[in-house]
Amino acid sequence: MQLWRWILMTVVGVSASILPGSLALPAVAQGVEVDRVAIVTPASRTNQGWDQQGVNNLESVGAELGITVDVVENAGYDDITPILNDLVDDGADLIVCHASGYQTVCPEFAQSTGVPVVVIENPGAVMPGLIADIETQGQEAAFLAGVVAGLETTTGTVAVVVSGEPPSWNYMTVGFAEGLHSVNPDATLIYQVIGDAAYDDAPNAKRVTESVIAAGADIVFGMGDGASFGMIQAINEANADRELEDAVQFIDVIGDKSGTDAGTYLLTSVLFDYTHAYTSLIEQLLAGTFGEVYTMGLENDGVRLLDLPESVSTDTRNQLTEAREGIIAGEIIVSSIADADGVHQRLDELFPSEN
Amino acid sequence: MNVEVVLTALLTAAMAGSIPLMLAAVGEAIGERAGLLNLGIEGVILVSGLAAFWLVLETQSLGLGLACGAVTGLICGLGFGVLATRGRADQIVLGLGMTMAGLGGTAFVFREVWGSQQPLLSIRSWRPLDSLLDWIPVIGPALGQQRWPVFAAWFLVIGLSSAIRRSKFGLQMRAAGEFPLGLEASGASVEGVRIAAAALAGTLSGLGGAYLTTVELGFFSPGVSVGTGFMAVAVAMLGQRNLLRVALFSLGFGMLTGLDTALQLANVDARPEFLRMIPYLAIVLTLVLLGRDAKSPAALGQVYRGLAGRR
Amino acid sequence: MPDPHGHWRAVINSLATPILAVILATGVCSVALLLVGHNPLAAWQALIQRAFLRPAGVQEMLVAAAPLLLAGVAVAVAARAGLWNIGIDGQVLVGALAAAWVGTTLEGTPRILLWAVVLVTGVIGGLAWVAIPALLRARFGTNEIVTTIMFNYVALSLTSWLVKGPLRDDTIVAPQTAAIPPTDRLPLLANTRVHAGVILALVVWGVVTWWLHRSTAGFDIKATGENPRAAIHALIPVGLVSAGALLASGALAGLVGAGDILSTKGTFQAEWNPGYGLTAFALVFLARKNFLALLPAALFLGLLSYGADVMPRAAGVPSAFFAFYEGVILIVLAVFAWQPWHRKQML
Repeated sequence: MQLWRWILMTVVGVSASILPGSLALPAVAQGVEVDRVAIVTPASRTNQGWDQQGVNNLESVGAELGITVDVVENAGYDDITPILNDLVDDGADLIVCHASGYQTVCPEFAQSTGVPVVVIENPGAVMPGLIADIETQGQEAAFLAGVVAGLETTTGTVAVVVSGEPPSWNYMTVGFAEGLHSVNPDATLIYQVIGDAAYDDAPNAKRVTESVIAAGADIVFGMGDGASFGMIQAINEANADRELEDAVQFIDVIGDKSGTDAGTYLLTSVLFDYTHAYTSLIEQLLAGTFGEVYTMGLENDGVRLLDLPESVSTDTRNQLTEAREGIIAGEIIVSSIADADGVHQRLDELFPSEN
Repeated sequence: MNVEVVLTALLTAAMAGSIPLMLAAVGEAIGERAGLLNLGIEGVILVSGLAAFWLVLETQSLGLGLACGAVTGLICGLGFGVLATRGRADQIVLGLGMTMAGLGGTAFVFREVWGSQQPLLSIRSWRPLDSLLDWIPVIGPALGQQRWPVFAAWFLVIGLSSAIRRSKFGLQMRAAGEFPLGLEASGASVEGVRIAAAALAGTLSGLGGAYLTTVELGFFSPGVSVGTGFMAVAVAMLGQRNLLRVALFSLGFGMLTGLDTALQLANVDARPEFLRMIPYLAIVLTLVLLGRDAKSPAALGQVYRGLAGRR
Repeated sequence: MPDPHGHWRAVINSLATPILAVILATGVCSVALLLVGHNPLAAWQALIQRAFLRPAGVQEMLVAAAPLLLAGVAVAVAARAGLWNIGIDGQVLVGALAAAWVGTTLEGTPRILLWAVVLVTGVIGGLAWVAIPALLRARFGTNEIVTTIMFNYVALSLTSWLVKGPLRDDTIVAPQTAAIPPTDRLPLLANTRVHAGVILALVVWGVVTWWLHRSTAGFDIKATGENPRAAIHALIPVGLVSAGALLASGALAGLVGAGDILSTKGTFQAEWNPGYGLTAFALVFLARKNFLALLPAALFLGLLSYGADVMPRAAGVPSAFFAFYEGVILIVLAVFAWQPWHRKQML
């Protein structure tokens, strides 16, 4: 048979088979019942940070409330609609889209299917009964971390190493810098960006951290997801040649690496705890008040500092408590800067470069 | 920021960080000399890296780990060589398949075996020139910071380079790549030479992978090679299969990659994404400048069917 | 000598290779599953069940297959001329970014016009991105494998820079372009999850296939690919034809990017890199570079892509497994290019 007839047949045949072979999308009833909750994360629990916190927190909430929790890790940043559809087909009553990269696709999904979703850092997308948003005021706890760093540094040089400049990290960079400045304005702050979206670029993270250590930093505030392990390895290696009191220390974000191989020189971490957020949101869904912005911050313990090691002095702890109370009372205002250019500008204001 | 500090940091990082690339690129250059184009290096690096990492985790011996990586690479290289010659496999497809299988396979195994753990190695190897050369500005401290595998790698490459240039095997490899018909006419087995070259190339890539996970990083994570395998192909081509030139280009590339860190340390305000483009554009530019001279061996990538069996 | 069954024998022969390859690869990978403690039968069963026995599965497979089909066409066009376009990923990104930018700038125009402009922009983006490697190859003989790979990395950095800077949507916190509103995107077909992009992919496939097999240019491309020396003697402008094939390949890859923006994504995000390139190679070689076979091959790889989405939850198999599976298929296919059971007569 002639080629063009084959082609025409195929095109017509496939198109025609799509239409009768289709079924209407299942109408998802927007129930007040919540039996099954799902979470979608871009990377794996392995990085003991962002993805792990979301998953672990939701699982503990699910266990508490007797709700089944479906977890999809490593969803990446491709189109996650098939995954969302799959979760809904299996009966999910609420889906937590745990990445700022899902801010657009999840609200669209909710609107087209009627299944409620939780997004992060997209307050403009909230819709009653359908879309809720979690905001993380990481900058306040980061401010406290900066205070700790400013008081604990012996060399006077502190580094901030990031593997990307997403807004959630930018908030913390600025908060940290302001906290550092509030107790140690003469300190030197080195800010290094490893790459564009180098969340898994551990080799470069290690090299960059080695460089900042060589430049004199003895406290490294690292935001890296998977790349954090590169930073931690750089620190572990550097400390192998040093005395304990000169050791370089690491301040982590989001997760809790203490007790693991990576936690040997962990000073503290700006911990994100979603437990209360998730509990509230599920309760709101049950009560019919779902569809607002939930802000995690210092006050509701959504963001807090991980417990400090014993080596930290009482004086530091006291100043820390003071700072914390000052923030909660509204006396200390921490800037909220989300974009990278704004971060660079603010850092220059606080710690003008020597060149 | 002190210029000397920045330059030293840059050089230190480049020297250490360019080793996996250098080993893989030298390996690829050897393979290409013999007429084999292997796009599967990324996969070899990952598989060897995972194997080496696992062994060091179990035995705490760096030497064993590096050896394991070399052996794993050898096996992969042999596989590629045999399939590309006797198996008459299409080299490009085979290589891409190895890369995909390596990427997916190592991620798969890693997640299955270690779950959500991220084990870290704590082997600290010896620094031969520690503090000895600190009186030389920039280069001294940079060399002093390097661990013994770095020096071993360079000795290996220099040794291979001269061995290949002078030995009969080296000549045979060259013939296999440029004029296989002539090689066969002289009595040697083209397939044998190519397989041997592939095995050698694989061993080097395997060493590079092992170095990456055990010496440089001290851990494994999916996709940890971040494109080193592909860079190796590019650098091998740039170096025109001259092993020393390839090694130097690798070091240069390592320095360019570290440039964005150095510039940031020096408080030069440029977007990191912009700076990240520089190494790759540099490679393309160099390829263009080499222009008509950037010739590949005549028989690169082609299956050799032999004088006799023209099927 | 006319062989009345020759045509069908050829078809069966060419089917045997990919089917055997898939079977062999499935066997090898099942062993891998066993070694880490999974039940391979249960895993494959879960995949078949989710993909075929639920209408949603079939629809998702089609949606996943559409960009893969187009990417496969892109690779196949270059492969037909004997060239390797490994820069698909970069061309997709550039095409997609250009399409997203134009699409959001032109908000308010009638839909058909919008789609036309956006798709053409994607094509131009992909074309622009493959132009330099094509030029380098034409003028200096620079190996297109290396240049296209390098340009992949440059594309990654360039699009990242652009989408975080000048082309960024400032109202949204995550770095991405403004979104093309869902109403302006390619519509869904009849209450399914399948969007019109699938039809688009089919049409483009049809057009390219017809053109390659029926036009003079198509013939030139085939001749150049099969035997460049003979083609030169036949006065075919080999250099021009090669460059043209590469350009067409890049253009099609750009179309893939635009299509994705116009259907499933709606916006270009900074971390997005679908990596169709390697899968497209698997597709093309599964189809043995035969354009008609690209269809079932695309469906098969769409199945695998859907599998990677649902199998982690359904059977506890990490999504990386499917990349491994595709790699093994490629390796097996590479070896099967030599068919020991099929002796061809050399003239």
